[in-house]
Amino acid sequence: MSNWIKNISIFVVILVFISAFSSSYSSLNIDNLTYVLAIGIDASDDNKLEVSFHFSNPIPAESSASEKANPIINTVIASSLSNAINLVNGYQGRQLNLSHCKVIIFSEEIASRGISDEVYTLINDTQIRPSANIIVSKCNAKYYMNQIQPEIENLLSKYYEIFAESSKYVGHMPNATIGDFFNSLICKTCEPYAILRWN
Amino acid sequence: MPKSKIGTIEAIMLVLTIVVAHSVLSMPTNILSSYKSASILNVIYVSIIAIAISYFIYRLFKNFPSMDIVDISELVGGKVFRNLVGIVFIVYFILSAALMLRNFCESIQILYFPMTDITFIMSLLVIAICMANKLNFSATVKTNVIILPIALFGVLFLFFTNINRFVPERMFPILGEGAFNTFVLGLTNLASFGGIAYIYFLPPLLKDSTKFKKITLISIAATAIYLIFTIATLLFIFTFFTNVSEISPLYTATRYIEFGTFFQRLESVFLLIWILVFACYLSIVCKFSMNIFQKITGISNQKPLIDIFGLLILAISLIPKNLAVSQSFESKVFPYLMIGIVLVLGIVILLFANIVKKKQIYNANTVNNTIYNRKELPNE
Repeated sequence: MSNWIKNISIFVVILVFISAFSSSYSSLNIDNLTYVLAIGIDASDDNKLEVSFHFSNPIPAESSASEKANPIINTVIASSLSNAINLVNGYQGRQLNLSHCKVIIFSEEIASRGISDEVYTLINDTQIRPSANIIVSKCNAKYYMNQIQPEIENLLSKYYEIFAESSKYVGHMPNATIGDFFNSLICKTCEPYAILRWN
Repeated sequence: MPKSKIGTIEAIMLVLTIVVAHSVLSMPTNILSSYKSASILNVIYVSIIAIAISYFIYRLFKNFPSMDIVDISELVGGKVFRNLVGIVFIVYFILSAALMLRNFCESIQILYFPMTDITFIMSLLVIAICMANKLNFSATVKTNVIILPIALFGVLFLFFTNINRFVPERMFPILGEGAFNTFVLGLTNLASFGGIAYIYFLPPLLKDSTKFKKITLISIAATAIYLIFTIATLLFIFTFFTNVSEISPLYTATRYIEFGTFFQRLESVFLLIWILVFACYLSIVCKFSMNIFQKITGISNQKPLIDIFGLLILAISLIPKNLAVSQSFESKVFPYLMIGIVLVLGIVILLFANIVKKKQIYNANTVNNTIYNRKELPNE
């Protein structure tokens, strides 16, 4: 009898834990997430931000490897980066996930105004990796994202990941990451730096 | 020999578990934000003091082989004082473990289980420690001997894989915010050596009590080396941690490890190891608290206490309203609690016990001499 009670109680405990953890499982399930490859931040009217999210576009398995996917870019205007993420989450069917975000692009206009608030928001986000590159574009960030059409690389996510690798063999472009940028930003004797690009 | 007796390596690992579990939480952040560029110097300084204190504790324990602090306190102030000391140590162990559990589970929740209630995450760890303690204490200790070297190797791995990101100049100015802050106020950093509290209860658990000196000194020295590596890694990678998120700084450091595009996101492996270390830590705390409780109440069987102590840890960990409250305990209350109870109360008890022991020996010698003299008198 005591074995029966023991087995039933173990079963109940397992059931309770399955139901408790299932909500986290479903919220972090790949089917419910949409991955952001790049974030572009531009200045907008009334001191607001124009935030563009570049989403991954999964190529169907049937299509050929050489087939290039069109970029999916969504833009929202919000008072802060967190608000922009919430806004997109509001109308997008899937939840935004920044864990594969490789590049953060700031327009020159907003960079000259100061980007510490945005960098703090990004570095405090557990999904953003410190190795994500930080770019300041001479043109509009959204325009820059639209213009990125790598000729040799088929996968845009791959391109974003490796484009700063050239810093290892040429001196034209530094490998500026958001982790290093943040470290330099809060250091009194350092100067943060980013990659400067123009299209 | 009882099954619950532990060997030398097991005892060293047991003491080291405490610092590894604490270092996974906000302890390194507290050190870095308090002493800034002088953090490494401060850790070296407090390490020397901690080793000296642990040697002093060993010397004080020398007269009381196979006795722990609760037994010794009975010699000093009788049963009432023994019970009081026992309760103080139980409160210290349970309170610190419960709030550390809360901090740790909050981090896990933020990272991996955003939609799960924190109670369920904590319950899983509490169930694990209850089951481990029901098996036998040796189960926990042996698991610890397997898991802890991996965790220690992990910190070395973290140090050497991040070496290309190091900025050694961050340790300058060497005195940080001044000599007073580093060396006088910096003494509160002795709280990082929380393992000393468990040394007080080790002698009766040891297979070979003659190895107590070795265990004490090696475990504290290893703790010091571990802390130096941890703090050096964090200081050389990051500017300071005061402005960054409340996630464990060691976890943040693991996010920087990358071997090209092939080997990335190693933080999950580290977190898995730390979860196991934390479960071992909670299990050790539970066992030590039950040992003390058994001593002060005189009950014959500990097993019925396992669930009660597990639930007690869970209940206390649910008290703080949020992460900020439990973290403020870790940074503002725990150091003073550790120094007050472990370093002041513990050493004072040992000192008084030694005085009492010496008095007893002196009195015994005086009585013996009197008897001897009386025996010799008729011959004269």
